[in-house]
Amino acid sequence: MSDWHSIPRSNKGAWLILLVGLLATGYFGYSVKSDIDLVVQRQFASDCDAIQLKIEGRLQAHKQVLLGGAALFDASDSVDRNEWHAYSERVEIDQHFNGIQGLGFSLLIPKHRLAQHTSEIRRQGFPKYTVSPAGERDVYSSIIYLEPFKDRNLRAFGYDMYSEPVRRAAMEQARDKNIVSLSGKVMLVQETGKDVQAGTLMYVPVYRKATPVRTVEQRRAALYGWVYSPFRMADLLHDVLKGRDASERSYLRLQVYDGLNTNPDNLLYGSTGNRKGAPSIAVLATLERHLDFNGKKWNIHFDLLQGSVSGIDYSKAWMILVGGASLSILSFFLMLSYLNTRRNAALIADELIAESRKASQYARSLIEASLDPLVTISAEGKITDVNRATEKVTGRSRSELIATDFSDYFTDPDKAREGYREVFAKGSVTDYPLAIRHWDGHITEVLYNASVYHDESGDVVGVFAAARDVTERSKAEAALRKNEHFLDSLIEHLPNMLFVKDAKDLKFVRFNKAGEALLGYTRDELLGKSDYDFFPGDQADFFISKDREIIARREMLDIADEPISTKFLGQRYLHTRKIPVFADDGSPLYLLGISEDITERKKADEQLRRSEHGLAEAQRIARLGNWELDLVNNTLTWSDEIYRIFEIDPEQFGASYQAFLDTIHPDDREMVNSAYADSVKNRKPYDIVHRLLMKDGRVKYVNEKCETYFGEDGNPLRSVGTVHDITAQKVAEIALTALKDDLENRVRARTTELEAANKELEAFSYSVSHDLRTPLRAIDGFSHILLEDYAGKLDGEGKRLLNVVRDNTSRMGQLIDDILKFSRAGRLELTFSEIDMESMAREVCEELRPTDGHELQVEIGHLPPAMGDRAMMRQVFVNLLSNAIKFSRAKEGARIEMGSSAGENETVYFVKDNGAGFDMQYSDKLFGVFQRLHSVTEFDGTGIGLAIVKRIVTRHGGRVWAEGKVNEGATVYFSLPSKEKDHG
Amino acid sequence: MDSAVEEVEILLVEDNPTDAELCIRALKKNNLANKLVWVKDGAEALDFIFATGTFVRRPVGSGPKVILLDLHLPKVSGMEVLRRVKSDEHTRTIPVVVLTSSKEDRDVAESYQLGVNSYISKPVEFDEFAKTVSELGLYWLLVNHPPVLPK
Repeated sequence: MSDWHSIPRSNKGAWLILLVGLLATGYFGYSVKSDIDLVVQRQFASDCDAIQLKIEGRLQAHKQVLLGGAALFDASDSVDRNEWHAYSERVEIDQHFNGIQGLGFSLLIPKHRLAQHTSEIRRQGFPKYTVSPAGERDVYSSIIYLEPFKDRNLRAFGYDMYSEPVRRAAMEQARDKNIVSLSGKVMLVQETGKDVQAGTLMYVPVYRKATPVRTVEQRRAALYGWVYSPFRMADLLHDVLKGRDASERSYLRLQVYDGLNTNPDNLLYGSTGNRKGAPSIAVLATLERHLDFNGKKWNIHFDLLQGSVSGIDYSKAWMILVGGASLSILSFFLMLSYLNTRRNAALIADELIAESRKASQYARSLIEASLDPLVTISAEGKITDVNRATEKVTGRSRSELIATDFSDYFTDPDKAREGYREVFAKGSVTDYPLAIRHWDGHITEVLYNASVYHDESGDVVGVFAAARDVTERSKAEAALRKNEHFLDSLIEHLPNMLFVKDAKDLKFVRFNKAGEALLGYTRDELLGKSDYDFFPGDQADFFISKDREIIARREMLDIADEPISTKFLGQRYLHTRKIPVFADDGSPLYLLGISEDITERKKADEQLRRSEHGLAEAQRIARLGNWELDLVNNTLTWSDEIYRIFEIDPEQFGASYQAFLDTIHPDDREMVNSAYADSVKNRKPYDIVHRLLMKDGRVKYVNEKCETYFGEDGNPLRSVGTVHDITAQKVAEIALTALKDDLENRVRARTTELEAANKELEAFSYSVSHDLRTPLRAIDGFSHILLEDYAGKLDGEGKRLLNVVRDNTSRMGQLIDDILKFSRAGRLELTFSEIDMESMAREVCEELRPTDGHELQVEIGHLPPAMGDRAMMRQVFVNLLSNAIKFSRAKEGARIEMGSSAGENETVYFVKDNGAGFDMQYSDKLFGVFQRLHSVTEFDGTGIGLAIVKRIVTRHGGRVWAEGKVNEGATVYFSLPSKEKDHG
Repeated sequence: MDSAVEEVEILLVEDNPTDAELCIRALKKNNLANKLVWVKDGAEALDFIFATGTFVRRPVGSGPKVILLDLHLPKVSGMEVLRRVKSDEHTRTIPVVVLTSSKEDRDVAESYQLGVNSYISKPVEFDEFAKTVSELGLYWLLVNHPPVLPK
């Protein structure tokens, strides 16, 4: 601001008038305000007194109610719950006295009476009643009555107040002094946790009747209990303040403390006023009042808060201040105006003369007409002239602006001065950005064009500067940038590849991140290049041809599936949309492409298709179809194979349970239907075989399996099943059964035949043994008789011939015997027992040993016992040993050896001789019937002996074979199964 | 035949005449065939033994001392004859020798079960046959001591 000396002398009178006027106004205003303050203080004190009285009055009223309750006890023999209820109803505590939580009676209970007391109350209908808190104490008290007996008050039922120190102090005071006492600050048991308030309790002692209560000791002995009331302080005091109007209350803060000091711990009640942030409001005045209730002291603290519109009326003082000041200022301006007018008139006269000498009115008007702010600045940097646009943009008048420093009106004065210097240095600047600040703070961004100007003599006089308002343009540019950034960000983060090609040469001009990742090239590598730089020729040809096509057709193209070779990901498949972009004149500008990589989806589709195909093929090959019945939506689906098995054309008929039933062989329908129904009912899968009857009468067999799934509520949800065409198996099975039956029949028939043949054979054998011998005996007998009785009539030749007849008869007899033995060896039933082979061999050997004195050496080695038919095995030894003896008889030093060797599952026995032997090439003939390797004249015998041996050994499960050499001897081997293995 | 009724020692039951002839000849050589009766089938044998049919006048219980019995007989088989003889208390003590071509174990076993006194299979060679027959004749007629039968 300017100082006194800078004020033009002519204005000094005006300023003096202003000063005197204001001083007088200030004095009168202050004295009026002091009067008002005094009145307010008095009013405040009176309000406080009124409130205190109201609190005391309320406490006295409660006291009377309690005394009335005590009197009820004094007046009756006993007060029961109903009487107490009646009393409290009468005094209507919950309606009249808000804040009083209830009216109760707490019974004093000596320790030894506690159990009895508890059971008494429980008998009154409170089975869960206990005195709380639990624990060992000498004396208990219990709130046995508390009206109204509901809601929060139920929580206090049974509470032992005597156990809590603050309550106990008040209870003892009441008891000892026989007065109404008020407790310190407590938290009531009725508090639930919501809107917790401080509380206090009032007690009146009740003594047993007809008991002296003069001294403290007597009162203590006589105490029966306490009538009491709990108070919630906030509820109580809200009620006290209720009478005062809202605005008055909101500027009066009331705090009640337990005791005389204002320790926050002792705060019983604090009103905060209604205004937000009340604690920070300035306090205009404070008063404290003390309240004494039978020795219990409360400190009541009042604050008068600022803003008491209705509380303090300063309007008179303000009227004086405003009125006085207005008069002074009005006088001041009148004086100033008078002085200015006089001075300006002189100035205008001077200027008119000067202007006519200087610039023409025309030039001036041009400058003024410019919408851009124009200014001329002196070489010293002071504004020398401005136009109206400048006044507008700065919010200041021309006269205010002229001669002030031009840089003061820019947001950045240094930059403004820098530009100014630049003009001087270069002669001019163009589009120099600056921001002009309006006096109200509003900013205008401008671009300055400025140049120096010269006077008539050509010296630089100052700078002429013109500003152009660019605020709107820069706002638009910022919006554009923001929009561009948004679009860039969108394109960049698009999960699909996006590219833009120049429509002329089809080179890439834009790529996003997804595109880089897909192709494996950075956009630096991609931009400015074409498809031919990155992709195989045929692919690039395809892309480019499509591009051309789209530009030519001028519409979007959707390429559902195109392969593309990438740098790192190999061959991928894209779903690409290409869109041509045209300029306003219709000429093509760009080609926009968006490609989605569908390789994984394609693979998954392919896999699914293959897997479905595989399943269908598997079903076709296995002739196994599957079905699913959705019982919720009642839809049935069949696999292709089911349609084939049922021979239903899926084009003509859909899957349905009826179609299925119709295909079933009529005889099986009931069975299939109930199999399914039972399966669902019993929740068991089923597995059945049934027939299908085709339209042409063919019968098919199917194996059907099914399971049903159930929901949590037990209802069936869906059934799944398979149908397996087992016709081929079934037909084969039936054929096999038929074949088996046939075979059995044939076996039976053959067995019968065989049995018959066996019988015949037996009869034949019998006949042989009996009837063939008889004629032989006759031939032999009568030949003999002939020789005996007619010897004289026969010559030598006749006798020889008769003897030939007799020899052959004998051989025939032998033959018959051997045939019978052979037959018997195969026919008789075997009776197995353990045979001591060694001793059997010795016995047989002794029997057969020649008695004609022929020398024969027999050696019998170890022969292990065997299981077998004793008679048959004996026959084996007889035949083998007699053969050995027979064939070695002619030999000098004939020797027979018997022995054995143990095989894997058998024991091999052998009989070896050093006799005539045989040629090994005939060894296979040895064991045939009637097979002889020697002539009868050489060695007698029928050729059946070894055949019998073979038959017997074979029937015992063994084998027979022989080794030999002509004239060197033969060894016959036979094996028998090891004892343990067989018949053991 | 009547002449022979009184003192029959051997009853030969044989359907084959050549076998019978050979048998009788062998016995004759040892003078054992003087009191021999030859019947050709089982029925006749039973008539003789139980004094029925043609032999009704023959006193029951007077022999023979031994019966030489072939098994393979017309009408009534040898086995049946044996069974009847051995199951009647009057005839049970008469020695019965089966003289047969059969060597079947089955026949041997059954005969002994029915109480045969001896089982002899006929050898094919006459020498042996003659020897066997004469030995058995000597044995049963001369060596063996039969019980005295009550009349």
